[in-house]
Amino acid sequence: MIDIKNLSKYYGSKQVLKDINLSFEPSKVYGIVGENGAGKTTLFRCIAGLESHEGTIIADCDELRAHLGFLFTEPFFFSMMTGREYIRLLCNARNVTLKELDKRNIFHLPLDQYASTYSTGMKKKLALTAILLQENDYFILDEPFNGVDIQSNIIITEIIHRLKEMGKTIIISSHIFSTLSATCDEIQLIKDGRFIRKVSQDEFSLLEKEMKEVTIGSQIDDLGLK
Amino acid sequence: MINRHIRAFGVPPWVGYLAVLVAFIGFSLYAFLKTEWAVYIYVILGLSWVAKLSEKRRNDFLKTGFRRKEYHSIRILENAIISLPFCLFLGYEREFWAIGVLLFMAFFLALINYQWTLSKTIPTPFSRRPFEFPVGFRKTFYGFGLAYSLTFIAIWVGNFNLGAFAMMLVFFITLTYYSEPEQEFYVWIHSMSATQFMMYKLKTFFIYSTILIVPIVMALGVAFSESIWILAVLALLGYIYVSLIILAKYGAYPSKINIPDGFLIGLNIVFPPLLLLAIPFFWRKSQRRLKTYLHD
Repeated sequence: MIDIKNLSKYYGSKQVLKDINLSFEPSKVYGIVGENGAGKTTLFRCIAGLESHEGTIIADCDELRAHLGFLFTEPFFFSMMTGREYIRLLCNARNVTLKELDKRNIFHLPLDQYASTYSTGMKKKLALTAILLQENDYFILDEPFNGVDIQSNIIITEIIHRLKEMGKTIIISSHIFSTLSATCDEIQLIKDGRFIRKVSQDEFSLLEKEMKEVTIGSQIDDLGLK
Repeated sequence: MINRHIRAFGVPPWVGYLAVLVAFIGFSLYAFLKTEWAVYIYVILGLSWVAKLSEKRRNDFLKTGFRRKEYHSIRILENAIISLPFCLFLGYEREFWAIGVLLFMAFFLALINYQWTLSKTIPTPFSRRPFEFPVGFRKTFYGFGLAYSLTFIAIWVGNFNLGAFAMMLVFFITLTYYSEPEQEFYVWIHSMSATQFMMYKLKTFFIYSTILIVPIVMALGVAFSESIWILAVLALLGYIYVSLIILAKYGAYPSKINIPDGFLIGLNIVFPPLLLLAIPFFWRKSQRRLKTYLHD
């Protein structure tokens, strides 16, 4: 379990996260939804311990970051580092012995090619494979479906279900509503650094409709498309 | 942007420009004083700077923003600005033909783009412990070829100093693997304390650099057995100075090594006893910096 209490984050004088109180339980998948710049990634970075912050983040393990797999929106790869070496690096870093990598390469990635030459979707799949092989208990997946082909989308959705069954805690951010409704138990809405609403599974369809109405409104008419 | 880069080193921009100017003039005078090949080195150096601006993705970006004629004007102007200091000094040295070559090539490079795409993965013996050595080795393997060739020549002509230089070249190449701070994710992923992390980095460097220098040390040890102790001292210095750079890198992390720290490293090279102070200093600094990203 991850328990967040009174979390605030400032960049200079600008407050980007405002007094956040959240709880993430095991065997559950949480979706975080919000506009670009709403504070999702900053929240993830705070949970991961990559940002200093006010308030507390407590987990039911000795050190959260040692058990946390963090999939970045745009994973970074060194030039001239192969996919295999990337996975090995992440596993070495967590003292995990890597066995039968070729068999476990379920996305059929060209592991002996340089990871920096991969397409966007392949990079995402490589980064995801690496954090899965790290045997983490908690997962933060920032835009896991971005740039990924439809077949892999299905596989990732199934992986998330399996992780949930295994008792892992999963937090996902996505701009694709269908992927969230297919995976999440609960969706939290964040706006201007504040969580404004919690939506449970039975309200997902209603939420999507509401979001369309609120977000789109008459804005497209204002564009005056011709 | 240049001003921002200079500020990132912890100095005001005008100091940075002055330092670059002094270094450029100093290097130029030294090069022309020391070797008759200076003019060729100078042209190659100038062109290598100019070539950096011909990178495909950068220029594709420029092409999307400017019309063809404007784009070519910008590129020619950029290359002319980069070539200018080299041309001025070549003029001072009355090497007018070299100015012609440099300007012609600068003009030519303004009209083309290139992209280094290597489809084949270069094999490396360092794959087990990514990332510095596998990545670095692939980028600099030809440097090791040069070092081993120099060792062979040193033995062939009976020149121990050349052999010692070859060994130090290996250390110099490995030092470049630690010149840039990696993205914070690559530190954060380690479930280690700051101390364990630094020990892991230093251990990897010791093991892999030893693998690289062993052939040179063994060959020189057989050919110049009476000077083996000099080689041992030099190797020790190589290990110590690269370790110092690794400590300084993480002492400044996630920023680059700043000018004052760079100056301190320079002082240590001139006056090695200072290492007794510098090593604990950078060690403590690295521990402080890494605690943000690693475990207690």
